[in-house]
Amino acid sequence: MAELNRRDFLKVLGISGTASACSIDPVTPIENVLPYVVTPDQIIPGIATWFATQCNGCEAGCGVMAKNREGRIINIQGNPEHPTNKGSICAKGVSDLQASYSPDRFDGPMVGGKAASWDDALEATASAVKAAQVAGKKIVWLGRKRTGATAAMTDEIIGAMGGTVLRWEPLGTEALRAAAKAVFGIDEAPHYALDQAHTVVSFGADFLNSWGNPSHARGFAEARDPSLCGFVTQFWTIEGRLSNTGVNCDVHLSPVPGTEAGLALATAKLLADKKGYTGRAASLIAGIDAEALIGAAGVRMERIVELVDRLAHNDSVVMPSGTTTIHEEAVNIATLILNEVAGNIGNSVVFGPTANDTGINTFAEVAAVLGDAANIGVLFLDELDIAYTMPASIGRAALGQIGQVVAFSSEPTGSIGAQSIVLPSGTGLESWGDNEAISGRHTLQQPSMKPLKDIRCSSDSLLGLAGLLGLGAATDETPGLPADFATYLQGWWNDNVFEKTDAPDFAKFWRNAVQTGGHFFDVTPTGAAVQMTRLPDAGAPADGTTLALFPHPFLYDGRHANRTWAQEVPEPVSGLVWGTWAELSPATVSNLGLEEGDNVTLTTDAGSIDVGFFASPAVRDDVVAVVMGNGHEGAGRYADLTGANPVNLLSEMQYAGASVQVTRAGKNETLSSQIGNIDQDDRPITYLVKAKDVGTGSGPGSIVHLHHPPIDERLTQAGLLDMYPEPEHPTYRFALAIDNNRCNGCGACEAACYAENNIATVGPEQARRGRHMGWIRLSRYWEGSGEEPDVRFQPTMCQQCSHAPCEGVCPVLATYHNLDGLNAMIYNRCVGTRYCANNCPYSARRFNYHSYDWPEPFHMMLNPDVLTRTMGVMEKCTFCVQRIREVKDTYRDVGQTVPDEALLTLPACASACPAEAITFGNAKDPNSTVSKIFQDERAYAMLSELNTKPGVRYLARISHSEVEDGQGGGH
Amino acid sequence: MSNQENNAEAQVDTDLTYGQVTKDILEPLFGFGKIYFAALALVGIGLAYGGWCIIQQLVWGLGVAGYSQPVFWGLYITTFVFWIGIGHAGTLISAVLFLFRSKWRTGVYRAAEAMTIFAVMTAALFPALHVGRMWNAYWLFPYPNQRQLWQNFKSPLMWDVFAVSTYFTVSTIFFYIGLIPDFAALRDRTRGIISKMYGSLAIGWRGTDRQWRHYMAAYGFFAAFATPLVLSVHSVVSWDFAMAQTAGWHSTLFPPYFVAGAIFSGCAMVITLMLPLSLIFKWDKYINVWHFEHLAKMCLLTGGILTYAYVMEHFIAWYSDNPYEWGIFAYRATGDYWWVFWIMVSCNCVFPLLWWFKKMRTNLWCLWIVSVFINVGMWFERFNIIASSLAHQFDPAAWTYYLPNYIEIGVLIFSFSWFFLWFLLFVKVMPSVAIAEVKELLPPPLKYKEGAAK
Amino acid sequence: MSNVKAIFGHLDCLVDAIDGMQKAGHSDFAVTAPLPRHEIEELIYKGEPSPVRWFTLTGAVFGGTMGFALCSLTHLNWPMIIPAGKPLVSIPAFIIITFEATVLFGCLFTLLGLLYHCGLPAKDMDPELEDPRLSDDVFGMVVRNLDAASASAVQTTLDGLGAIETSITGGSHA
Repeated sequence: MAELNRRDFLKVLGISGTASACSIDPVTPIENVLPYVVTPDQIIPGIATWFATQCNGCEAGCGVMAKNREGRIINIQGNPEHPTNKGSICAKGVSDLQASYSPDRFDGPMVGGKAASWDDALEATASAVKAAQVAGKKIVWLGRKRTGATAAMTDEIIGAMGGTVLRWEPLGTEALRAAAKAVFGIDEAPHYALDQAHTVVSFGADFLNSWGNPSHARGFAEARDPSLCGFVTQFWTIEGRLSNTGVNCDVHLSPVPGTEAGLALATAKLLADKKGYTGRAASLIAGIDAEALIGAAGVRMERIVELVDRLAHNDSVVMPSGTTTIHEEAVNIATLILNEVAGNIGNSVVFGPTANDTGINTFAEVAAVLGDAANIGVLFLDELDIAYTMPASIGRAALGQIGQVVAFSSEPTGSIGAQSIVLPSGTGLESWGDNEAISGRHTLQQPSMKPLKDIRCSSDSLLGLAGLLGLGAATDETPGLPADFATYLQGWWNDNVFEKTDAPDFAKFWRNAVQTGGHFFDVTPTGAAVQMTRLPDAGAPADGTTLALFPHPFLYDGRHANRTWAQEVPEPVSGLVWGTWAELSPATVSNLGLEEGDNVTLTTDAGSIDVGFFASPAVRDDVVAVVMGNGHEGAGRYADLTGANPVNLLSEMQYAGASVQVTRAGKNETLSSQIGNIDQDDRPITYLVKAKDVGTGSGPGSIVHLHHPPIDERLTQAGLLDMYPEPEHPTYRFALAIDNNRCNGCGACEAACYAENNIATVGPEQARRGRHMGWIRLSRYWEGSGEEPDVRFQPTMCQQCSHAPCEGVCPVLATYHNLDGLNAMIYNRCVGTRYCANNCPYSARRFNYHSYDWPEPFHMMLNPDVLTRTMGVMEKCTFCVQRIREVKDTYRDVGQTVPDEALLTLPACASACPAEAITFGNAKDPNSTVSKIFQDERAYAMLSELNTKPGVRYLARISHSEVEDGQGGGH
Repeated sequence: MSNQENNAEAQVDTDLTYGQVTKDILEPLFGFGKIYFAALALVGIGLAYGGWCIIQQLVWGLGVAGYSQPVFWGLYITTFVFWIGIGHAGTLISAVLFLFRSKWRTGVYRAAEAMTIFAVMTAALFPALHVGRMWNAYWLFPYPNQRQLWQNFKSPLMWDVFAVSTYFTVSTIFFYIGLIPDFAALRDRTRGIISKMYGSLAIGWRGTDRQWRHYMAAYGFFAAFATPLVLSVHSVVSWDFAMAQTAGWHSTLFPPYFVAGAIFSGCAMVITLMLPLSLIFKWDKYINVWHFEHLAKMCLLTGGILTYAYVMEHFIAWYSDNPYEWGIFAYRATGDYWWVFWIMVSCNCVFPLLWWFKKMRTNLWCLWIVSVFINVGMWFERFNIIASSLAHQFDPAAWTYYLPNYIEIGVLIFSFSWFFLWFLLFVKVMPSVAIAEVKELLPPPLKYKEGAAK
Repeated sequence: MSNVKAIFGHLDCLVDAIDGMQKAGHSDFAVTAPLPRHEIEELIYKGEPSPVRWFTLTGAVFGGTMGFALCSLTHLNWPMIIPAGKPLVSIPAFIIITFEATVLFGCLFTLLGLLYHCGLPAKDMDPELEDPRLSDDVFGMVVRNLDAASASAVQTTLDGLGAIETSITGGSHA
């Protein structure tokens, strides 16, 4: 294996030789490729070149930095210049790197299931279009959300063909937009600013993870950071289960499904009465019987009163509904009214700098077109898998009747049949593109490596097609279409972006835009006035057991199902990997007599599927929440491997509300949980501090009530505590500080760690046998119950102890302590006695039980700075020692020690974290940020009573709970 | 050495002559019976299946076994400790009892020593079999790598390497020295090539006054060395666990507790092996209830210590109010591994109580069955210690449940087959009872007594 | 020069014979027995301890030194930051290996001492004693280097002392 990798690495070097000559796809001339940090654009082996580009992991349109080593992109990080994600990146974005190296990619165009040349493929498409035009059939473009030049060009050419362009996102903001239109007359999903909110109320939106964009996670983290805003926001979530966002709540109210809208309106009413609100919404809620509605929702009055009290006195945000909410539009109308009454509109809830959904269609519009599939001559599918993301009655049914499907996709999907024409569109790393996913934030996508396959971006294919169809030829009044999309892109940016700036010279502007990853206007946020005159029906409560689908935090709507990282990073709440599961309440589980590893059969009038289950303490007895994302057909080897598609349970495109029967089925063969225990079993592993104590402490950990006798300083001074002194760290003692209060359990750190450290993915069979290789374990402890769930996340990686238990016991010195305070691993020296792992109280070590392989071309994605480990070798986190080495060398050349700011987000986990919860630095330097955090009143070392002197400190999570001993554990 | 007073106590038939002894003991070495071949066949099957499992592991990696993070040690280390423990009775009986001059050792010590050596040879398989890179297991031996880096002599595993190899060497020397006079006897009782073979093993032993003089002196020294070794080896093995901070392992109680357990299982194994042996070879004159009763008493003593250790472990864990310690011990008794725990308790603490009754400890069936139970119980004790502590490490988020799979069971079978292979060869190649020493128990032929008889 | 070989069936006769030989001033004789008999050792060596013990002592001291030297010197030779905060030379950790080495070399040296003093391994030591019975149930005695006259005298003495059989080997009979 080791040899193999070395050989492959040389192969990569060989390729990169050519790559450096033309390190981008043939369509675009090389001189436009401009690296972000290092000026020379040819490749220096061993030196990474960074390209600013856009992320295609979801429709949020974040800016990312692609790390090019020897002609291959080996890593993706957030672009610090981009206003949306400000340098952070989520697990979806990291996993999207694997799209470029997927072993299932199309090698080139396909016609009728056979490989074809580009000319033939485009010819075939053109003739199909002509035929459709002749036969008077429709030509339809159906794709994901596109904005900017990419969208403009599609519209232009498809329009010229006489076709219709439809864009739709399975997890779009449709319902919210409709609500905003109804209430304020603005067809736009508002932007929610969380960073100043004392109280955040959510009606189910998974806004820290799969809903919206990373700015929410950052804002929420800032609002929970007392050192920034002087208070700790309190988070109330009102939903029938707890989403990946909901588990971070302080209070969880679980209303009867379908009564959320009423509950929100009742709250608004009570709030209005309390505040004496006389705004434009007053008339709307005047006639509401709060008592009755709250009663119907089955929520305790006292809680609502408490909530109203908070809303009345503090800045707040009321977040919208999520996929698991029934009557989404009604609920969103109610939340907007509640925001209006709470006085948030124009302050924390604004219009303007928000998701740019122009040209995004509603599902009704899409369904209407697909319903008439027999009359569709040509359907252009732009990376949208309608067979998977739509109910079979709509998606699959349509595919059966459509004359010709033309798919722009780099990988197979369930929607691509044997008769389809495939025009491989490549990935974002291989072609030009842009987006304006959020109004004013024009993000550029530049090709940052040579395509692995024979691809053309969809826009170039369209241009080719236009040429064949004789469209867009130059006339007197129009200049006509350019030869390639790169030119079109520049032209469009010239007219639509450059013109709006006061930049003098387009060339300079363009160069700058490519370097920084785009051009970002500050759109001034605006409020809105209530237009609504009468409230729509709030919707009836559901009866019986209702189905509620929720997106997988990493697989999302299923588009990342073929990414092994997205599959194998444990879903943070359940800890489950590889499969589809239903969240069942403990009561349901015991009623059905389910045991761990069992399957359940879910049956609705639309169909039935077998899935595993997760006994969630928070889900209602009358709700069955099912995760989306798995159970594909013909969408790649990993996507097809596990699970079932819950969308098959839907008869219409409504994720929640269908009534469902749950019955016990056989055993689940793939799903496995990577989190051992639901809570911390009364052990003092992670701590809480009371919000009222915050700021009262003096000295490190002074307000953390440790459950073991604090180590007496006098013992240390007398040399009685330690038999041996702490080892010498001349210049550096690298250390990590993790703020459990900022951490929302999104799992970005885990995915980033996989990407940076060549961590092997082991697959479902090995995962369920306990061979999961992730170096970071995002521990989840479900301490509370009922209205105060008290769920705590604690990312646990190697703690780099100064008195490391692992080191002393290794017979062959394969692990030892280095001068920088790291527990170094010498993989080549390891025999695999595994004693170190047995002796690690943090269970942070991972063992290679087999040689795990990277099917081609995954091996090209490996980080050449990190050794790949083979069978029989122990491995673990080393704080990304390769990055530490790099930065140390850089500063050694100028004779300096590495400054704090160069270290802050050095490790992959820290650089990814959207909540900025992880800080890296040199604890040896008293002025470094980590040293300061180590002195924080909330700082504690995990299992500090073992006196292993770890290099990681956690900041205790802050609890608003009044329950005594909220810390959990202890005797 | 031991004087000849009170041969009645030695329970050896005083009518026996030296010649008769030689004859009786060498008898079984010549000619093979059905039972023998049946046993060999069984062993062969075991080796074949186990070998197949080992090869799989070699090719595909340790992953073919049932390990589940964070349980990084399982059946292999369990079985390693088990065999090391078995290997204790031999040297204990031959060395310690030799120094104490207790006569009942004479009948059983030879076979017990052989058992020791084979047990250690079996145990020695496991460090090699359980490491991730078996082909590199030799890296554990003390020699420098290309860059002059030696091993970490602070690691309990290195102590193990030294302790076990020393124990093996010393036991083997001790064993061989004891055999020399008997090899001489065999040399003189066989003909041709076989005689030559035994001759070379006897390295020219004639039993002259000079040889006997140094022989007895040296034998004493070996015994004196072997004695602390018996106590040290299992202490060192116990430190593999006690030196780790894993809850349930990190305990100063371990060395005495392990040594007691080792002697307990060792003596039980001696009964398990020697009882059938003495019956099959019709050696009731030399090995009989009297010996087994003494062994049983040994077991009662060490078993008592063990029971005390179990109780103390749990009491202290509870008394310390350390959530991790108490967590583990509660888990052992009531958690996923409750069955392991209760098998251990019933086999090690309850069944042996039968032997408090003379009737029971002199009844061959009871002796044998209980001794087998003890062996089973001691294996489960080690499994209980290793698996449960690792399955419930400090951080509940990392908990798991581990069970050995067919591969590991195969390797377990292999180890037993391997052990019995050697033992079967032994009983046919070497006298399983020390001829010269049995003779010591007999009254020497004296002319004046015969005169008196006339 | 010739040797007298005698076979005894009884221990007391052998003891008398040894006694007789010593009285008669014959010191160059060897006695064999199928088992160790302290009477014989007492008579011949008068309780003087075997020199093997010096080998044992040397071995033990040597082993102990080597053991400790191995640990400490190798760790000093490559001064890594030592695991779990232990100093380079940490006595407690090294005691075990020191002890093991002590025992190991003690035993090996003792073995050497034993072989050396017994003159083992030997091919043909005391050819007279190559007699299967001697490892079975009888005691043997060889009185060496006697002239013809004293040889026969010795033979008669031994016969008188209850030897089962006696013979004169080597040398020539008139």
